[in-house]
Amino acid sequence: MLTIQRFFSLLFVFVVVGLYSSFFAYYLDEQQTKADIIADEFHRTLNEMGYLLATELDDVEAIGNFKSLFNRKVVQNHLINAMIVAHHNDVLLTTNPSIQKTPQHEHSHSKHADIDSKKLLKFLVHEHSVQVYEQNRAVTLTVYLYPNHFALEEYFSEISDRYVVFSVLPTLIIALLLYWVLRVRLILPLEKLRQFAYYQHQVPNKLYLKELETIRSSMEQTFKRLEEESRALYKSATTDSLSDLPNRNQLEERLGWLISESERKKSVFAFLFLDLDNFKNINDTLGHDIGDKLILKVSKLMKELLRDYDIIARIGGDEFVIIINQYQNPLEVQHIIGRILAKISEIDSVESNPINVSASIGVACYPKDGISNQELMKHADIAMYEAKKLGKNQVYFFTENLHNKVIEQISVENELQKAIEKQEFELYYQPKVSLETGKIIGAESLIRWHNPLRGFVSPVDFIPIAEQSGLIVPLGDWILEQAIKQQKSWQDDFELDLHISVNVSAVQFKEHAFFSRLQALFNQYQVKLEKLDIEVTESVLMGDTEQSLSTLKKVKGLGVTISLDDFGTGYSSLAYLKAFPINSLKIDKSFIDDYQHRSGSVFIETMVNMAHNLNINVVAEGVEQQEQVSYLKEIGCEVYQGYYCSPPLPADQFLELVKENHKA
Amino acid sequence: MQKLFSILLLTVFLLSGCSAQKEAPIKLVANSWIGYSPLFYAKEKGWLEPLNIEVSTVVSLGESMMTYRTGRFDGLAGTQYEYQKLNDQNQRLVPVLMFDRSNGGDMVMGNRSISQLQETVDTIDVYLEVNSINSMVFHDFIEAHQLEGKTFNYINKDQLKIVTQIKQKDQQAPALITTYVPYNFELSELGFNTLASTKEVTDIVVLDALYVTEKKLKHNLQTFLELKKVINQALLDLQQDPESYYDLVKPYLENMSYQEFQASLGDIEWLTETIPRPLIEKINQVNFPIKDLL
Repeated sequence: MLTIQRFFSLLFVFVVVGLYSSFFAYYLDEQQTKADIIADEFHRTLNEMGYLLATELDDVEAIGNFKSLFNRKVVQNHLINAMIVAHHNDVLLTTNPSIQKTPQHEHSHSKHADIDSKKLLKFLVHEHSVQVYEQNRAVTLTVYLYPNHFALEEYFSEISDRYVVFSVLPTLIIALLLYWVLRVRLILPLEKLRQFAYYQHQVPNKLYLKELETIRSSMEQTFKRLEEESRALYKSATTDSLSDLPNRNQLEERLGWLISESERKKSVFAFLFLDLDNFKNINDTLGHDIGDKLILKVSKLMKELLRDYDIIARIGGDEFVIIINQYQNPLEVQHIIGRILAKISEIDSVESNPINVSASIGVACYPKDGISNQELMKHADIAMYEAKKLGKNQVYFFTENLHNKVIEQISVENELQKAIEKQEFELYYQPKVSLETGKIIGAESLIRWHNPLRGFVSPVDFIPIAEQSGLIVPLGDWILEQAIKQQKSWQDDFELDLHISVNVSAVQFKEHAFFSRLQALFNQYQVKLEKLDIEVTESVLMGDTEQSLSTLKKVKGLGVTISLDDFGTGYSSLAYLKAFPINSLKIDKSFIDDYQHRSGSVFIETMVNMAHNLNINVVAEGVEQQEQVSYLKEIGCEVYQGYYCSPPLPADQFLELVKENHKA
Repeated sequence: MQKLFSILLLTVFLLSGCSAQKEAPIKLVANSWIGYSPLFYAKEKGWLEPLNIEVSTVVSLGESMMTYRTGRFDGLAGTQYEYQKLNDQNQRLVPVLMFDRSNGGDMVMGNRSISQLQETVDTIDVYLEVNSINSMVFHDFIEAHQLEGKTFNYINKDQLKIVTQIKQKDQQAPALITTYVPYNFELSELGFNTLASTKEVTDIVVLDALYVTEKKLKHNLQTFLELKKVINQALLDLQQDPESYYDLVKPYLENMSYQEFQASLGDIEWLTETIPRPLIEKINQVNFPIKDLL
């Protein structure tokens, strides 16, 4: 395919050659015309002089009478150099005395009428025969005409020069000018437009021709818009729209580069996984707008704290990844993390809403803890969860042990799943004893797991895993059903009217189907509802308080009592006691253990008084000594449970214990 | 774009068509002779223009021949003498139209009677166009009247100059003038009498025809056929309305009178339609080709 440059070059050559051919043809034609005119003039002169001789000369000897005529003829025509009249080889008359011989090569006008410019210049002499009569005797004379070759050549060359000056040169100049204009105004702009269309690296300047300028302008606008859209698209694909921080895509891209660079330079970097503590609660209680503003605040804060070459990315609702590189030693990383946590903790309000903010950070180091995006992310995430477990606002560095622990947790989770299916669990019952009578009035059901390989697995080890994995829901259902079934059995078989407590985890409690399942169980086993006690922790009451309150009220509406477990260890908010329909309050063992000290007893007594004032019973947990029993009885506590009476027992042993207790 | 290009191409084509040169006319030369009057009549009638034929007139046959030799003419009207002279010079002429045969139109006039000439010892001035049919007519006259032994002073001039010179010169010496219609009328007025003419001299055949180059005839055959029709029409007009015919051709015939015109017509025999058998034989004897005659 032809380029426009070549196309116009060919067109240029074609036009120039065409014009020159036309000029040359016209030039030749004109030369011929001029040659014809000159030859005709020579012819006419020769004929005229010949006719004069033929009609007027009756005696050859008297030819001298014609000399003045011939001279005048020659003088008046600058293209004629000389004329002679000869009879055979004898020159009878000459206008140029130096010519005394007849010429050898001549052009006979009597024989050849046509003559071109070349012949005109070639023939040195033109000749014409004429018959004159002396009396009735014919004498053939020849008239010779000598052209002025210098004048002829000058004349024709003058024509050539004029053609060069007025036709060839102007044409060439005009053609070159035209080509230059085409090149400057059309070819080069089109080439620029082509390059612009291909590469877009340089926007052509404004173009002279309207149509081209329209194309250029359109292309510029289109490419600009495309670039903007492309940038916007890239930005939206790689940037978090809320915080304007890099998102997971950009993080992976930049992390990939960083890993490559670090691998090449044998350098290290720290991968931080930051998660805001209790962010869900903030969202739930103060609304998502406030949550978003908090995210913005935290993002801004981190950008200010970190260096330009560190990477900050938001990869989830309240999850951030920070990559710290180019540090001298791990202590520097620790300091940076410390500053981050401290600064986040300093946030005390968002939009005039008082707020407590903290974050948990898990740290994985390249290449020690991982050499790929996925590994670093996973390990930092594990470390972050570990930090959360440590009580939040913490940092935790990923270790091999932690890794093993997580592996172990995963293993437990898998086994837990199977255990539910295989019914490896058993409920133990720890008696609740009336401090007033010393009689067992109820029991707290406690789950035990007998794993074929692990043996006895403590609830402390698997309940958190069950909560994390959601297995707590089916497990909790099983516990509830077992407890109800057991109570029904004891009621029906032994006429034991015991108050059975069942621990319900916050995860289970917040399940929408919890209440309906509870109702279904009651309907199924037809037990006395008032003999079932649901133990919840403060975490159940936190978060969506409206829903929790509604569920508690509905549960209580069935006649079921509600106990607040582990009171004193968490928020121990009075607002909960006031708002929620709680029947009993269980004081944690840690307080009971410290009853002998003033600092411990003050809290126990305060809690008991407060509960009584609110018309709430008090259950003391972890009672192991007679003195503790006496003390609790003295301060008016209603019920205790603990090893002093009995550790948690399998159902049959518990039954025996109750029987003995009731006999006493 | 293609439409525009087509229009441009058509315009260029039309312009080039407009600017194309008209074909060069067929140029003929003829001298004053009653036999060529149909040609003059056709020219005056405007019949030659559509045929793209131009006719130039000269005074004498000799001038006609020399003019033709300039190379700017395609044909000439003349006698078989000019035809042979020019073909001797490689002019490649062919007779295409026969006009007439001189039947008294060429003559020898004198200021003496034949007997006086036979008796005289003086030099006799002989006026004629040497390089023409005049020579043949004159030589035939000398032979016919046994004047070979006389001394002649040849004066070579065209007919108009002869007339002029006779007018200006008091011609006392015996003189003979070989001339033809229409110049004979003025010479008669100057005292010259016709001593012999082609009417009486049966040995001489003087044929007047139109000669053109073979090339021209080949390329313009149709035109010459049309010309022949025009010539015949002119002669038809002559028969029907001689006076009108005369009025148109008079300037070409030295403004002769109508009577002289009528008399001149009696001195020629028109050969435009047919050539009589006896004449054909005579024509063949003088090697005059008639095969190309239209």
